[in-house]
Amino acid sequence: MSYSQKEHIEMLQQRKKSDVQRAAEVINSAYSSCVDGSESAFPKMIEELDKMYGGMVRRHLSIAGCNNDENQHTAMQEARIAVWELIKKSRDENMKISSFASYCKGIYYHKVGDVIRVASTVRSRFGENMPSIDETVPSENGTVGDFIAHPIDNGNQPDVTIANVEKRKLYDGIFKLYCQILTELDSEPPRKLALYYARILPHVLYVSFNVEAIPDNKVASPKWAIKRMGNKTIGMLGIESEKEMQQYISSQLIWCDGFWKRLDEMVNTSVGQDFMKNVIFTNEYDEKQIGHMTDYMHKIVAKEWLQQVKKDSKTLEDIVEYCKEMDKISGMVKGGESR
Amino acid sequence: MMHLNDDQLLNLAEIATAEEEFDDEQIQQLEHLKTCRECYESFCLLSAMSDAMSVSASPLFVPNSEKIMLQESAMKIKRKVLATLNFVRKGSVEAVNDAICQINQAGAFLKFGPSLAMATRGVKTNSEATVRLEEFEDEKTYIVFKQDRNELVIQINLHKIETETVHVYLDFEGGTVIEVPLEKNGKLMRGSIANIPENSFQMRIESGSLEK
Repeated sequence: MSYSQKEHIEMLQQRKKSDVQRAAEVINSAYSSCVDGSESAFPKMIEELDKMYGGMVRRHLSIAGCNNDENQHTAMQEARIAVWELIKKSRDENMKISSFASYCKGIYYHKVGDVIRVASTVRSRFGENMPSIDETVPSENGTVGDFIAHPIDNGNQPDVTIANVEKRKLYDGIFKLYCQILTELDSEPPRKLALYYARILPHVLYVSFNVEAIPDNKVASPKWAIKRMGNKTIGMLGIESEKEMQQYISSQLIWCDGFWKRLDEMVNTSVGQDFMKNVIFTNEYDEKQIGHMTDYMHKIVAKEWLQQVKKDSKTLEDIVEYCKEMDKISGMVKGGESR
Repeated sequence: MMHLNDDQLLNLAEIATAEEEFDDEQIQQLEHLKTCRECYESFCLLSAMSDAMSVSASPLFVPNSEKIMLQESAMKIKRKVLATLNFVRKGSVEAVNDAICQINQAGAFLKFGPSLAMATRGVKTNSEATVRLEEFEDEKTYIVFKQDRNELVIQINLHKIETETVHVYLDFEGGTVIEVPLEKNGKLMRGSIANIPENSFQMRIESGSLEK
C-alpha cells in the first residue's frame, strides 16, 4: 500500500543526525571493545550497523532493479564479514580506526556495489526475461540454474521485470532531459564543460562501458575531469564532448548556437587575449574552480529540469509514486539480517 | 511556513537519496513538505533525478554498442582530413622551408608545394622570412608562414573541395590542439594565427568537422 504524503515525510524525519550520532557512539564503543578482545560486543555492533546502513543497501539494490531478500542478505552478510576482518586486522596491528561507524559506510556501500555488478552481469547475459533455470547454457557448461547458483538477480519474477522496464524508461528520460537542458542553457561554455567532464561523462562511461572513472561513492570528480581534458582547448573539448554525448546518450544532443558563438569571442586569459576556443581549459581553471563550476551548473540544470518536468502531470504523478516507494524500501526495518 | 526554495529542496532530496541524515533545520524543512503539495512534488522529482544519476542506476541503462559503432562511422565520414603537414621548428630561417612538409601527400585531397613565385624570388625578403605553400591545382588555396612574426596565414578555396566548411587545427606534442580561426568570404575561407607556441606541430585541415 502506498504511503500518504504525510507518512512518507514522517518516515524521512526519523533519519535524524542526532540519533545517528548516538548510534555511532554505540558502534564505536563496541568496536573498541572488540579490538580489545571482547567478542560479546560484536552482535550489538552489527545490529546497529545493519540498522544504520541497511536502508542504503536496499535503496541501491532497488535503484539497480535487483532488490530481493537474496541480494540483501548477500550484501549485508559480505559487509558483516568485512567488518569482522577489519576488527581482526585492528587487533593484529594494534591500531584503532577513528570514526569506525562512518568508515563502515564505505564497506556496506562497496559490498552492495559488488552484488549489483554480479546481478547486472547475469542480466546482461539473459536480459530481463530470464529463461528457465533448467535450460541448458552451453557456454556456461551447465544450466541457467548453475550459472546463477549463488546470486543474484530478480530471477524471472514478472512483476520485478515490468518494474525494471518502467524504471529504466524513467531513468533514461530523466537523464536525457538533464543532458538536453545542459546543452540548451545559455551559460558560459567552461561551466557547461566542467559539469560534462566532472559529472556526466564519468557517469556515462560507467553506464556504457562499466569503466570506473571516478570512485563510485562520488557523483563528480574535478580531478578526473582535469586528467581527461589534458591540454585540449575549449574548442576541441566542445567538439569532443558533443560527439560523445551524441554517441553515448542521444543523437539529438548538440551544444546550442550560443555555445559555439561564445567560443568565437575574445577573452582575457592568464597569458593575454585569445579566442575562447583556443584557450586550454586546464591552464585557466584548477580543480577547485572546476568543482565550483560543476556544482553551480548542476544546480542550474536541476532547477530548470524541475520546471520542465513539473509541466508533465503524468510524469510528475509517476515520479511521486516512485519516490514514495524508494523511501519506503530503504526505510524498512527488515532486510537481510534474517538469514 | 513559506515555500522552500529550489536549493533547499535539492539539498533535502540529495540527502534523502544518499541515505544520509537530516539536521534539526532540515527536519523543520521536511515538516513543511508534509502539508505543501507543491514543495513535496518538487522534492520527489529531485529525489528521482538524484537516483537516476546514481551509479547504482547503471545496470538499468543499456548501452547500444551497435548504434555507437554506426554513429562513429558516420562521424568519420563527416570529419574528412584533407591534408596534414609537419612543421618542424628548428629556429633557423634557412631551415624553415625544408622543415614544412606534407605527410602522405600522394593520398591527400589537397596537395601543397612551394609556390613558383616564392621559389623564383627566394624565401628571404628584407628582415622577413616567409614560406608560402600552394595547392598544386589551385593557387587560391595556400599556407603562408611568416617566421619572424611567428604567424600563419591560411586560405582555402572551398570551390574545389565541395564542402560547406573547413577547419584547421594545430596539433602539438602532449595533446594540445589549437584551432586556427577562419572566416568565410564567399567560397574562400581565410584566417591567421600568431604567437604560435615555439614547438614543432602538425597542421590538420579537415572538412566539415563542426557539422551537427
